[in-house]
Amino acid sequence: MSDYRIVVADQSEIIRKGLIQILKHLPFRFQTIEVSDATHIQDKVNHYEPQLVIVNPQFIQNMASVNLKETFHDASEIKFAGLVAGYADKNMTNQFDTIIYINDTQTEITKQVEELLIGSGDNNSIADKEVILSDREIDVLKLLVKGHSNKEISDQLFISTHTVISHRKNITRKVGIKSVAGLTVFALINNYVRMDDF
Amino acid sequence: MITKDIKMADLIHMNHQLLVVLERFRIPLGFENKTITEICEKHNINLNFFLIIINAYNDENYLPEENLECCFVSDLIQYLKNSHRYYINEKFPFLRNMIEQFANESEDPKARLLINFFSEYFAEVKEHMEYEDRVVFPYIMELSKSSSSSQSEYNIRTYTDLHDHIEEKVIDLKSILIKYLPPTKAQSQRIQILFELFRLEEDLELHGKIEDKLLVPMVQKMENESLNR
Repeated sequence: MSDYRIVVADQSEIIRKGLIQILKHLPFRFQTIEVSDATHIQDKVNHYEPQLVIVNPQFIQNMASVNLKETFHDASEIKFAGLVAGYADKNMTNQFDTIIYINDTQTEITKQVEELLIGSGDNNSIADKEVILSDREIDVLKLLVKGHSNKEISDQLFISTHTVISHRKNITRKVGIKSVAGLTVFALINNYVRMDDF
Repeated sequence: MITKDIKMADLIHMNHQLLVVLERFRIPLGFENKTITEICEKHNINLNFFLIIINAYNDENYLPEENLECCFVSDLIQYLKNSHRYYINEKFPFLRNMIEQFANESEDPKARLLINFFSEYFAEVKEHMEYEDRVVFPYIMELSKSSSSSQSEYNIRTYTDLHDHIEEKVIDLKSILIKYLPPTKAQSQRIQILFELFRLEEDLELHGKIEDKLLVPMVQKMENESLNR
């Protein structure tokens, strides 16, 4: 299961495969979905719910004449990168979050994509990128790995289950471990809990 | 696209990951100059089905051009059962031994946590795969044979909901080994385990894709036909 999904849409197989090869240098896990036929792009986007769509503007010219983001169902969360090989209409390219040019280097392309998906340094505090859990997150982690349910954790810490879930999401994002069993090992290694607690 | 006239040996040189597929078709090595067609004939393997599986492994975007014909049902299920047997009887026990050995030689009690983690994971995978062998596959075989409409409460959608996250714990274990377990003795074993985990993750992902892209659509089609009868 991949954390990010990226749609790569272009008629040319060389361009699609070449771009995917370059994207393999991104420092995180992702899955790519190739689209070679413009009539399928909406279906694929709705089905896979990608975070990023990289598409040749000419490829979707006919359908996206009004507004790119409106063309796709519920696309407010999706980023769009235009993949421009030659001449491109300004009115069209303005709609994209970024433009990747066919002559861009690997470093330029991966940097652009990384910034689109993760955000540049300013948007993310350093604490988010390192494994520094807040005191509250540590409280949640301790109860979680001892086998308590969201409801039990919320009762013990006097917070809503909604808040418990949001803490859990943040823990998983910061630590990079999804399963409770994995988080248990993490908590034991870091002495948040002790073997005697079980 | 891999086609029937390619030499079997060239195929493996081109993509060594396909070795696991050979194993599941029980094709022995020592191909000499034989082509895919010749090898399949020799071992009594359905050539078209073999090509579909090999291509699905080789290219993640590959989909068979026509709908899988229902005559492939038993081939596909046999293939998946062989895969399960490989994971349960070979791959997971092999990895568990590696992890136990590493934990023993690392001289760090924290490394022992990995043994427990992996054993639990192994038990889950085993239960999941045995459930497929015991419940899901017989249901599909029944569906493919029966001419009357299906009475079963079960349907394939229940199944697709279940098997989403099977490689999640492999990813977690990788993170623990890479980031969180402090340096210990037996580093080279730790690295070998990681190589194995990366490979297992890819393999499980592909296994899931075969189930999602080939098996599920085929069964959905049969379910619809069965409803319309």
